[in-house]
Parts: sequence; C-alpha cells; structure tokens
Amino acid sequence: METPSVSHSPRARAWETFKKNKPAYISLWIVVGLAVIALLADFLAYNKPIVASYQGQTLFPIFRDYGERLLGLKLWEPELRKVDWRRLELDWAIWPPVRYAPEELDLRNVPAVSPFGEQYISSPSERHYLGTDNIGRDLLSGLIHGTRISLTVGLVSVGISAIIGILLGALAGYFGDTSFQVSRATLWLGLPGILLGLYYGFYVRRYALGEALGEGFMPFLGALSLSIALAVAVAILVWLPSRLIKRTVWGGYRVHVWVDLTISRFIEVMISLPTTLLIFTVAAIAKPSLFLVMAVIGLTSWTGIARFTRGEMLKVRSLDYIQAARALGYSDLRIMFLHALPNSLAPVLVSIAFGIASAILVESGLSFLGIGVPPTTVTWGSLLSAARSASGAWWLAVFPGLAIFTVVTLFNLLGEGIRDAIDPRLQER
Amino acid sequence: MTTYLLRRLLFFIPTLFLITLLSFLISQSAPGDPVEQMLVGRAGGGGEQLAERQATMQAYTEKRRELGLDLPIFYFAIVPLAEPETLHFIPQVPVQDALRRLTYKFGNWEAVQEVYRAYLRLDSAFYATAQDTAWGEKRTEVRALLTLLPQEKNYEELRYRARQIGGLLLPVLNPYYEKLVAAIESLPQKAQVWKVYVPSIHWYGTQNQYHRWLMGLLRGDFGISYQDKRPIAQKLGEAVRWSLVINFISIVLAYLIAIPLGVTSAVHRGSLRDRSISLILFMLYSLPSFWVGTMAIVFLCGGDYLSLFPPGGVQSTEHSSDWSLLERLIDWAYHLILPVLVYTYGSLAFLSRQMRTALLETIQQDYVRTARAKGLPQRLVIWKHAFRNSLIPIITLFASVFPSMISGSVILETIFSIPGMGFLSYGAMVARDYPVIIAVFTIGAVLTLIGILIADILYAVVDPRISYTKR
Repeated sequence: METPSVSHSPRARAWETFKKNKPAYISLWIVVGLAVIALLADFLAYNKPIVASYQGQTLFPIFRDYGERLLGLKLWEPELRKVDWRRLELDWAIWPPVRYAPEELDLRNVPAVSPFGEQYISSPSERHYLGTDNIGRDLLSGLIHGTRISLTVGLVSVGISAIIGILLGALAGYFGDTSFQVSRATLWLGLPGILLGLYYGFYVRRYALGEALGEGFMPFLGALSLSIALAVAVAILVWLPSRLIKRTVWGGYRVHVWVDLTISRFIEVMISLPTTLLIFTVAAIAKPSLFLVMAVIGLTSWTGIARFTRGEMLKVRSLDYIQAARALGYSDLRIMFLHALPNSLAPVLVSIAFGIASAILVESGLSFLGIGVPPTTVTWGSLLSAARSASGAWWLAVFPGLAIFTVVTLFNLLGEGIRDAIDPRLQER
Repeated sequence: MTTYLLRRLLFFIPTLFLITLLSFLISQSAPGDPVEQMLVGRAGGGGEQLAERQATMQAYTEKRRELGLDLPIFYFAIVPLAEPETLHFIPQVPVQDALRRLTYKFGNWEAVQEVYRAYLRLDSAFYATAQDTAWGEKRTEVRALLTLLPQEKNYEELRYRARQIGGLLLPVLNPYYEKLVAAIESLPQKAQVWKVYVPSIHWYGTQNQYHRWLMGLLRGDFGISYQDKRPIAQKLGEAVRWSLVINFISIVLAYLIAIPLGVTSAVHRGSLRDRSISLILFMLYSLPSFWVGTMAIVFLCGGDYLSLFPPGGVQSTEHSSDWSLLERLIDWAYHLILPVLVYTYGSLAFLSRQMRTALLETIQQDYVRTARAKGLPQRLVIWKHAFRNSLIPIITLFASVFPSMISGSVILETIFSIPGMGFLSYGAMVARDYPVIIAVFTIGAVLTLIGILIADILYAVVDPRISYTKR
C-alpha cells in the first residue's frame, strides 16, 4: 500500500523525488552558494578595503569603485585614485579576505609563487593563499572572480538557447504540419512581409547593429529592439491588405503551413554542424568579446531544447484540457503559451542544466586557448592555461581545473537529478 | 533501405551547401585585407614618390584580380537601391566598407563617389609634389592622414579628418583640397535617404567570389596560407592524417571498453559493482579533457615532476624512416599513448552510460522476459537476445561522438603538440591566418557530415525496421 502523502500535484511529487536524490539536492545548494560567491566576488577578493578610516575619514572604497565603474561618476580624489591601499596608513579597515584584485599584477611574486612556498609579502594577511600565476596575478582572487564569469556565461548562453529552442520547439510540436491553417491571402502577404521586415530591420541596419555590438550590451539591446520594432512594423504593414483580400474566394481559401516539417529540417541541419568548431572559428575571427562568446554558444546550442519541447508539446496538445481550452474558443497563441507550454517545460529543465555545464566547458576551453575572450579578462580557463607556461606550477594546473570540473559536475548532477525526478518511468522502478 | 539511404544522401547535399555558405560568410567577415596580407614583405609599404606608389597600386590591383577579389561576392545581391553594382571594383576592403556605410547613411552614391574621386585627385596631386620641399615632417603626417581618410566610416570623423589635413597642405594642393571639402560638406544636402529603403536585385551570374571559392574547394584548393604562403591543401593533407589516426584509435578503443562495461553495469543493476562503475564513469564524463591533458603534461611529462612520457609531439626528434617498422611503431605508440587515453576517456564514459541505459531498456522488453521464461540461461538471454538489440542506439551515437572528437582535437592537439588539424587551426588562430581557420572549419564540418552519414548507414544496416519508417 502506498503511504499517504501530503502533496499530489506532479510538480510537488517531482520536488519530493528530487529532494530524496541527495547528490542532486546538495548540488543545488552548492550552486546557490557559488552564485552568492559570484555576486559578492568584489567583497571577497579586491585590492581595496570594504570600509576603512583614512586620515579621520570613513571611506567605502569598494562602493566608490562601483560608483565610478557602473554610474560613471568621478568620486576619487586624484591622490587616492591610483594609490595602493595595502600601503596606506589606515586607522582601521575591514578588508576582503583576499587582498588582491583578479587582474592585478603583483610584480614581487613573479613568476608563479607556490601557495606553500616563500612569498614576498609585507604582512601575513597579504599572502597569496593559492599562489600566483606566471605574471603575478593572485590565483584565489582569479578563481573567485572567475566564478562570476563562468556562471554568467552558463546562464546567458543557455538563456539565449532556451528562448530560441522553446519557441521553435513549441511551435513545431503544437501546430505540427496540419493544425496551422491560414488563408492564402495571409500566407502570400505575410511571408513576404516577414522577409521584408527582416530586410529592413536587420540587413539595412546591419552597420548600426554591428557598431552597437562593439559598444557593449546595453547599446546593442537598444539597437536590437529598434530593429525588431522596425521588422514587426514593416511585416504588419505588408500584411494589412490581406484583411481585404481574404474576402475574395481565392484569398479566403485556407491552406496548411508545414510548421513542424520546416522547423524539424532546420534542427536537423543545425545538428549536422560541428557546433564547437563553429564557435571556435567565429571566436577566432571576430573581435574578442565575452558577450559574443555567449551569443555564439547560445545561437548554436538550442537544438536539444527545441527537440525536447517539441516532443513534450506533441504529447500535451492531445490532452483533454487542451481540447477543452479550444472548445472555449481561446486563441492558439494563448493555449500554446499559457496552457500547453507550462506543462511541457519540465524536460527542458534537464536540457538547461546540461546546457549550462557544456557552455561553461566550451567557454573555459576557449579561454584556455586564449581565443574569443579578451586577454585581460581573468577566467578559470585562462588561469589553467598559465600552467602551460609556468613550469612546475602544480597549483595552476590543479585549482582552476578543479573549479571547472566542480561546476560542470554540479550542473550534470543537477540535470540527472531533475531527469530522475520528472521521469515517471524511473519512479515506477 | 535504399530509399532511406537515398533520402539521407539527398539531405546531405543541401547541408553541405549550407556549410560551405556558412564558412564563406565567416571568411568574409574576417578583418583585414587579404591582398595586403599576401603582399607583406614585398614593396615597402606605399612608397614616397608617385612612380613608386603607382607601382605598388599596380601590384595590389593585379594581385586582387588574381585572387578574384574584384568580383562580386555572391550570385546575386539584394541591396538598397542606393548601393551601386560596381562597389566591389574599388580596391581595399576598408575603403569599400567606408564608402558603403556612407552610401547607407546618405543614400546618394553619386555624391559619395564625388567625394571618393576628389580624394583620389588630391591623393595623386600630393604624391606628384616633389619630396624635397621645406615641408618635411608635415608631409609624413599628411601622408598618414591621407591613408586614413577614405577608411573613415563615420561621417563626422571623416569631416574631422579632412579638416585636420587642411592646415598642413602646400598652397599647390589647395584647389584639390577645397573640392574634397566641398564634396564632403555637400553630402547631407544631396542625401536621398529614400533610396536606402528601396530594395533592388543585382544579378551577377557565376562570375563571383563564392562560386570561385566553391569550385576551388571541389578541386581541393583551399587557398594560400598567410603565414608561410604554402597551399593550405598541402598543409592540411599532412595534418589531417594525424587527427584521423588518433580519433580512429580513440573511437575504437572507447567502443571496445564501453560496451562490456555498460553491459556489466546493466546486468548487475544496483549492485556495488554497478554503482562504483557508474560513479567513476560519471566523474570521467564531467572531467574536462583539457584539464586532464594539462595535468598529464605538468605531472607526467618531464617538467619538475615525473617524466614517464614524452612532453608532446608524435615522434622523437631522432625518429627517421631508416628505423625498422617495429621501432617506428613503438616510438609512435610511446608518444601517442597519453593523448589517446585523454581523447578516449570522455567518449568512453558517455558511451558506457548510454550502453547501460539501452540494455536496461531492452531487458524490460517482453521478448526478453519470454526468453527468460523459456528457461534460457542468463548468458544467452543477455548476449543473444537483449544485447544485440540494445546496440542500435549505441551505433548511432557514433554520429555525436565523432564530431565532438574533431572539435575537441583543437584543444587536445594543442596541449600535446600533435601536428594535426586542430593544432594547425590553433596556430592559425593565434597568427590570424584566416584562410587556414576557414579551411579547417570546412573540412571539420564535412568530416562531421560524413560521420553522421556513416552512422545513418550503420543504423539502416543493423535495424531492419528502418526501411518501413515513414518520411
């Protein structure tokens, strides 16, 4: 006999199963912990104190740096701007545990001092706890700040691929080849409308978009939204006359659109591309930029998510409650996004967890080779590659690699945990 | 089965076409001017005198024609009405790019062309002036500015640049300069922005860069490397051997170990043996191969710790063809054992995990239960009934293991200094040798496609049901 349980919804049951899977459950909490480290990286490792009293003044140097970097304010007095805070006569100070910034070169500890060996430091608190790399950068500080980069790369690139994959997969699965019917007028005006919209939004504006991408993320987002708005406006403008033509016999005839066939073929083509090699090639040719790396990873790795969503949608769309929603006269888009999609997303979570792991792996591979990522950016991969140029520096080979391995394992464990939790077949066993 | 294979082949061709299109597109966006890259080392950069300069330009134009870079890019182009059909004739990619941008901004090609012509006149007038005037340093400065001027992409910067030149010129050049400034200043008045938003189609036929490149590709001609001016096909031919040999050995090894491991795991599901195998495989699966490779190099290959293995390369320096075959094989094996291990373990872990899952699924099938019910021994049930059917998904995994190995070789060959395709590609990436990068991508993509095709064929061979599947 089954023991009575409090919750019966599939979601709650999946959560219960997931919690029983100890490795996955612990992984989840470690990932949360890593996210906290990533957020607070500047308060854990930085070359300025969090709070300090200098010549009777109480200062918050890290926050001031935030003001300068993020808000573009001019907060520092000239004499304090370039100063090494570790050498200042401070009345008192609360320092981050590691007193080095990740990119900072400690030229007294070059090349690569061992964590246990002798270090040229002024006080024990300035120790390089995990040693330095071949050009004198503190390894622990680099690892802490590298967490931020790795997690960002994982989340952003998988975010991009999830948006594309879920959208395409849902369309293919929900409509199939027969359910999406439009009038001839809409088809014959809508398709050119979309093409023309893409032409104006993206082809004509390609220089503006390219420049914005070079400027940074926010300008690019602005230019991209403008492009999308223009494309949509043009598409609607071209499509509008079809409202009239629809009333004629020819224009009113309803035709099937092969949504599933088109998207499935597209997925097949994407799968036959050597994705990693493509990412390497693009990263090697374009200007080094972390955002570009994330975008390229995201744009090439959505096929798994799309296939999962499609398969799930195919199952969900024939369920009774979807029929009921149709009978109520809800629009296809509403049924798809509000009713069918939320119930098809669980398997996608598995893909997302594995996707984050592989995105982090690809990015660290890229920065290991020193391509695609700006040379000044300190990442786990670039720290690991320093082991190749500093002979005998075991700490450079061990710790960054261990960090990559840990994060990849955590996300893989998470993925497995989610899969076991939502796969009903496994529950029966 | 024939129809199935035929369909796969039919799918193969458009995908191949798409891949060449993609490689070509990426190669087009590579920064820099290929002609200048090819001429590096010849003609000392511009020249001071008119005659010298003309000779350089001549050489430039000829090289450009030789490489086919004066041709349009594709069979046709859908461009704004404002963009002229003849833009690709203009030498120097950055200048072309700047002029195109100006045209996109103002929509009036004639006016932009006016600016360009005025610039050319000023330029040749400048080089016609004698060098020995009291002009001295300013001359050098003007020369630098004149080179930069036509590459200015932004209109405001172009105006600024032009004004900078103004103060430095000899009086002789002033009429030319004023014409240039007038042409630049009149651009906004002459703007015909509507032309930017009217599309037009240019048809070029087969006289285009893509067609030339594709035909070259079919002949096995990948162009010339910037680094050593050798044909890329020749460089790749030597390199691809090593990549294929190592990948082949690794894949075979991975399958040979993975299958029995997966079977043992599945047969003894839940036992200590299964759990420990699963744990180890899971760890191996998450281990980044470039970490393991680096650790191996640092700790096992010379350096300051153990030196059990050679520190990279595929053969020792004294290796020669005079050695007996056995000696040579031993030398190779000694060098390759570590790379092959690192190559193998990732796919090994992946394959055994899949093998385990596949076998577990087949064991639950009714026919396996029937076989058990008949009283067949466990051994026979597993190997004769369940195992063969669970092999099908494993074989098709070849399609995903092979491409990942090809891409992975970029990192691993770099770590172990194996002169294969990946190492070649890495060297090209560092040296910004774009034609080689593109060639490696194209070949990698084609190899991937072939791998998928082989997997498809194997699938059709081992699974008789495949011929009945629809679509």
